[in-house]
Amino acid sequence: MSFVICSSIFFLALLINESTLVGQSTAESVLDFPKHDIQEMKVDLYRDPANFTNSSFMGDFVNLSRERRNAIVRIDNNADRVIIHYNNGVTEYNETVLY
Amino acid sequence: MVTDSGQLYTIEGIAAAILMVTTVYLVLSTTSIFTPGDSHISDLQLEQLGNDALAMMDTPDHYLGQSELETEITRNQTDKFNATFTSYLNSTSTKNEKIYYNATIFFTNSSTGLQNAKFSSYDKFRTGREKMVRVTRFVRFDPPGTPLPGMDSRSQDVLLEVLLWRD
Repeated sequence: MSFVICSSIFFLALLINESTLVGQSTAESVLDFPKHDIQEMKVDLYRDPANFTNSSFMGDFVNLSRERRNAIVRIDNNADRVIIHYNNGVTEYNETVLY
Repeated sequence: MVTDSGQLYTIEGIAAAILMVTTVYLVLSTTSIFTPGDSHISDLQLEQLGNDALAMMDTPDHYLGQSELETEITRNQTDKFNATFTSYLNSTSTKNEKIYYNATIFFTNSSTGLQNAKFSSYDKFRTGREKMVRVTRFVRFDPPGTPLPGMDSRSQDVLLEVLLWRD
């Protein structure tokens, strides 16, 4: 009887000990996600629909993201949709907007 | 005379002792939550602070308006940028925190490629700084304005890169 209680206390202590490590790695993975990079690039893109036909404007995003942000960005402007590809080595993000 | 009649008691005693020692170790090691890998969390918090400050400055007041950051970059108002940005970074209740920065603008020139120009900085005589983080933001540049040397005269997006550190 006491052996059973001892082993259950041991199991609970192990659970509490491992929980702090789990919390740190999940918080780190949330902070690593490039939310700001993707969101504010989209804000500047979607302000004006004429941006997607301006090739030098698109070239600004692609060049600056590649050189200074370590991210590969590709923006496709098809007939009825716009596709954005984003890849910074850790996170890959693809978006299709139909309009 | 040595027999094997007490073996089960001995094994139970050893197992109980090992169990108790391990439990005490687990309980005591749970109290020290700061693992060596936690030192980067303060850097990530500083990066969040910089991103939030730039996001606040890049939000326009009304729909399809020009945000404060766009006005400051288009007209090269480095003093106004300095005042607003440092007030956002150091807005604690005790006014003891000091975060310093150095801002650079990167832009693409159609003939010479990637160029950069110094924009603004808040620096002082350094006594020894902590680790530096980098936050970036795309800002729209619409002519007419005060273009930096080497910039094309077209409507473009430039990258504002700010390095932040605590001293």
